[in-house]
Amino acid sequence: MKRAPYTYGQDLSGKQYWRSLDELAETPEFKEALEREFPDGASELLDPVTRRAFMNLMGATVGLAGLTACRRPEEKILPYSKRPEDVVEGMPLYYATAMPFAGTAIGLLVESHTGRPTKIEGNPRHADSLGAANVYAQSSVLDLYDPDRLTSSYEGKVSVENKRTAEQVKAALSARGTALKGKGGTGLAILTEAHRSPTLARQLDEVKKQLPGAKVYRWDAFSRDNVREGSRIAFGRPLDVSLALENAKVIVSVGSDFMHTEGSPVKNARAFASGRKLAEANAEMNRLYVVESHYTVTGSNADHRLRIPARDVPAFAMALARELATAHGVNLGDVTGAVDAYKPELVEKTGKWARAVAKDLAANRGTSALIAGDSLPPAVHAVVAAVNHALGNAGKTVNYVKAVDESSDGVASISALVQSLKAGEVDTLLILGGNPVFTAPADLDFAAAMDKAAVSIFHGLQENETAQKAKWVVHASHYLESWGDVRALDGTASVVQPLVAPLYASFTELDVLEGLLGGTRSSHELVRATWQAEKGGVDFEKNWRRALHDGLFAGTAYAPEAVEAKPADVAAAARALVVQKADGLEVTFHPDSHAWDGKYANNGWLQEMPDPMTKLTWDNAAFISKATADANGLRSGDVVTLSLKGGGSLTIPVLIAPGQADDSVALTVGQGRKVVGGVGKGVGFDAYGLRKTTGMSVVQGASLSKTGGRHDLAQTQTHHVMEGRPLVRETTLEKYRQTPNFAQTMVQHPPLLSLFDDFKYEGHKWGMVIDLTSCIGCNACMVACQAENNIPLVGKKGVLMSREMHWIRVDRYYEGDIGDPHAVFQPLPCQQCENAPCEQVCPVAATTHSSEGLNDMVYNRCIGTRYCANNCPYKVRRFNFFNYSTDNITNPKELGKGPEVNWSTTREMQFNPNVTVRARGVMEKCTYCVQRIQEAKIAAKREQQERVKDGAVVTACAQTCPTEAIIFGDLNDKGSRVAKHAASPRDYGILAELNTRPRTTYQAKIRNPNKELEQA
Amino acid sequence: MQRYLFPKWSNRVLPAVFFLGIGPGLTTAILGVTYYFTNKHVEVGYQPAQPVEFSHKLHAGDLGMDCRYCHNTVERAHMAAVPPTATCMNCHAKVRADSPRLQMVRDSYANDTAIPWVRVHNVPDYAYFDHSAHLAAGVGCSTCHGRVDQMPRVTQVQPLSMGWCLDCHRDPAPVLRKQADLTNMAWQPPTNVPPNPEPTQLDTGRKLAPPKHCSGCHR
Repeated sequence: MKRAPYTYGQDLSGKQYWRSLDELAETPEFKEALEREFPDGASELLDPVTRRAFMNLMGATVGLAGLTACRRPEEKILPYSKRPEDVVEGMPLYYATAMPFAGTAIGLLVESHTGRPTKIEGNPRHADSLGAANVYAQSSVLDLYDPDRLTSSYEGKVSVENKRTAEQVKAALSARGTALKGKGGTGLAILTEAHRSPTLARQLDEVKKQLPGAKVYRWDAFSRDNVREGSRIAFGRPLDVSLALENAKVIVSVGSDFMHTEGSPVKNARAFASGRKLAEANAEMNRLYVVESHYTVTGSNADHRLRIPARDVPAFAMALARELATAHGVNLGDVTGAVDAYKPELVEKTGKWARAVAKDLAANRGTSALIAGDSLPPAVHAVVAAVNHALGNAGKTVNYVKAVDESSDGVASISALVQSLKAGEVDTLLILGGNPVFTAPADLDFAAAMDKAAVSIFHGLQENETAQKAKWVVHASHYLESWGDVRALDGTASVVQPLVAPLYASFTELDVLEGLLGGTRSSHELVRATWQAEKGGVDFEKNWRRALHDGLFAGTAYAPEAVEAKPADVAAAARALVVQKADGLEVTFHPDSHAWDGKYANNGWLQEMPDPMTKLTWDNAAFISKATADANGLRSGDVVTLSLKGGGSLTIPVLIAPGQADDSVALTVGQGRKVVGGVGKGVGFDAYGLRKTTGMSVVQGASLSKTGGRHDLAQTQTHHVMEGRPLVRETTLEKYRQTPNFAQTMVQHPPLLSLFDDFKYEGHKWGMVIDLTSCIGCNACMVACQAENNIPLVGKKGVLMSREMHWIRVDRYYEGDIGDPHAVFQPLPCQQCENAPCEQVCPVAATTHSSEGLNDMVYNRCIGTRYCANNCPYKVRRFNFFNYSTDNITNPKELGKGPEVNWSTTREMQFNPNVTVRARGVMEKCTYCVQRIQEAKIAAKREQQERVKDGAVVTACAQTCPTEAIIFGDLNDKGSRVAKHAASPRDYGILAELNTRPRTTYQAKIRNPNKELEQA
Repeated sequence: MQRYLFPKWSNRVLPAVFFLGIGPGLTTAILGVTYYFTNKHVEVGYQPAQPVEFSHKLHAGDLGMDCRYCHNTVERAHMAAVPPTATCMNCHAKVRADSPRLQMVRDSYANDTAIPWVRVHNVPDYAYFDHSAHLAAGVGCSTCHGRVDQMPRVTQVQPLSMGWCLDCHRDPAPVLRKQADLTNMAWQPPTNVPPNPEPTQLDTGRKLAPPKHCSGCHR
């Protein structure tokens, strides 16, 4: 550094933070990249037009331009003929609905502008949302407007000549139904996703009644079969597990990513964070232990994380049970004997771990929770259930509730279907959603089995691998245009309410079944009928309307079941458990953070959202540890062939992921779709080929061999580096209690004086506080911001050139050992500095300060010098190198290839009308959602109030944050939440020593480690 | 071959041509553009033909209908929405139900199609104007839209330029009226209101502080 007027006090714990392996190693490439604001070539035009030709063209354009522009073109106003009830032009309406997600449903409130759903928010009344939403819910609105959606039904391949009208589809379905009725339904097989819809279940029952020979199967690539089977062993009933972590002081996750991908992630994240809010210095904090192989979001939030290969995770659970029973007198009955073989010292480090964790669990009976990962064998779930029961956690922190559907939605079910297909027992195969050809276990060869059915009908949103094999393709309605219903994990029932009439006269699953049965009832009638039966009586209309308004039927959550453990059965299962033995490398399968199981592969927001841990976009990779990479002579980006002993191989680039267990390769499935729309085409590598019925989550006996090829991995993590200053500040609970203001004294600097008189903020003084203790790094804020603020996509090429446009990014810092680091997340929007360095260098005053302390960005003034971005110490300014929002919008990867505009009128419908869609050549950045501030201020003015009440303005990121880590409000209002938080001793501004006076401040991260494990 | 292209006397003529001809010409052109290409000259007086010859003079002036009978969202939303055809039909189902001049209105109502009105008052897409906020502050219709009650065909009377907006935002007192007078077309601003940059007390009891920063209107 040229000048060093500040001394950065040694972090209390002497930690060194790093963001990428290159940074840790201080490679010359990295140092060079640091010196530059943008990587090599980022500012050169991508098209081959030379500068000279460009000047020629521009000269002619300028010469002719003035002649036509005397008046703006005539604009039309097209009012309603008959205005719908409740519509006030220009004011959004909100409707409650729910999105089925993984093993649960997320209650939502969806914003609608004159009939167009534009933005998704959580429903505060819904237990699985509590007002928040995750990345998948936030981005689902984009799927509605996906230009690659199926817009018609087809008989045969998806092509113009095969188009069939809705009437033809209905006629064909009903003819098929009649034919099937003739033989009692024999030969009909229906494959659904792991749905949770009472009406769909009722319809399927109806099908079985009218067509007794029909068989119904369910398939989900990430099934919860093992959870239910575990409960069946432990308690005699296939119960589901619903967590109540707000009551837990000690939480132990054995291979469960319960905060991001499993169970009710949004609810779990909120409950977890609620135990760590530290409103006052002496507040208690919960403690999280995580045992896992692949670094997950949950693992990154652990106070202690044990990194072991996935094959050893079941053994650890058993060892923990043994330790609890033998050392702490937890009465596990027969189970004690069954787990006796599992000595705590099974694996390196686990002995100490099992002892410490068991002690902590035993000390917190009834206020602890042991959580097993969905994919672990049923025996582990059974033992975990027995332990929870014995510790008195059942019904307090871990609720065992009635399963919405007890039948299998995993391997058992799809194997049975394939078997009966191969035996020629199925002549009509009806696939309702999903993509089994792509997602089914590779050894089943679902595609070949599907051909055995004389008639296969696929019903789905997009053309995919399964649609291509089907004889009929019926286009499905998105959940935002369907009537339906869904139960959350805990049983809470919601009506799925359409926000808009189907854009393409599409069918819901209910419509398809109704067509098959020859009925004419609409989805709406069917759903109403279900609830009429459930909540009938004179009050039904009232109940129904209340449910539509609230987004749920009150009192439909299942009560936690009173359970009685069956130690003998658990012991038998535990004895029968076969622990996988080390054999070369192991491979684990996880849902892809972008594409999930493949269904979101064509969603650009998700593809461009960086993976929470690796910050990888537009791709997937084989995640390996540094040690594994060194042993195989690999660098990130090397393409390898990953072969399994049992057959099967995959060519995929590797990515060195700190925190990954050694000798363990983590693969995400869902990318590498062959038949997919323009966004997902050519993205990633299909790992489903290695996933077989014998190893759905973990498989041993893999080997890596270098192919010599290289693959560009577009990561956002090495961009915007901040030169090792203490940006994240953290300490332990104990040290925090001794020095609550440690974060504020970490940097010594000269007095911060200004040449100018201070501006007095007399009206509002907007500010934001971000609690690093609460932030779990889930990225929901990024996607919420993207949806709210019309933020464009730049494609993989753009990300490789550091041109990503996210207004808020979530920085992830690693700390500690390269193989097994801690991770800290830091969401970073514009800091809205009071002494903003960007404002001082703008030659055209396009960025100025408002009287409320916002750093305003005026797009129509900006001439694109990019001086401001250059002068921003936080690197939060984003530049529109192209007309990202209009050019070739269906395929952001092709952006900038030329002037050809591929404007999609459907995509356009998602735009927030209250935010300018930026054009090429202007700078943009976080505005604190100024449109929401203005709306709230105007609403207050309408009520003749001078000030906006606290809570009336919530930024998009704060609104959707599952853990309420982001707090926004008026700092001048002393009673406001944000003012109270800003007054906390944990509060600090990053780079405040530069006298920027950031308006966004951070609350230092506090961990709650266990002393016994600290003294390593 | 000639040694010089121009004869020697041209050394004196060329500067003269520049100073007397091109120079003043260019200056006039630039000044002309900066003055005459502004909203004040280009936008004021804009009076497009409408698909239906709706007369504000007849409805709002002669018949005395309140502005908010049709533009009923003006106090609740940023838009003073052009009314749905159904609003026209409230009366015209009975009044002049056969008039050929109302054919398009009847068609619109019967076929559920929109009447393609031509926008008169148009601010750029990056400027977010809000009617409800201005009404709540006591800025009446005629302040910006003029005597619409005397216009058979609506004309733009104010420039709607940013400078014109800011003139009021910096000193709103002269244009503020009581809430009861909002739609009073004949309202005249009081004379001799001294310039008052301090917050003005409204008749509703609220202190008025119109935004003067960029994000007040640009989002």
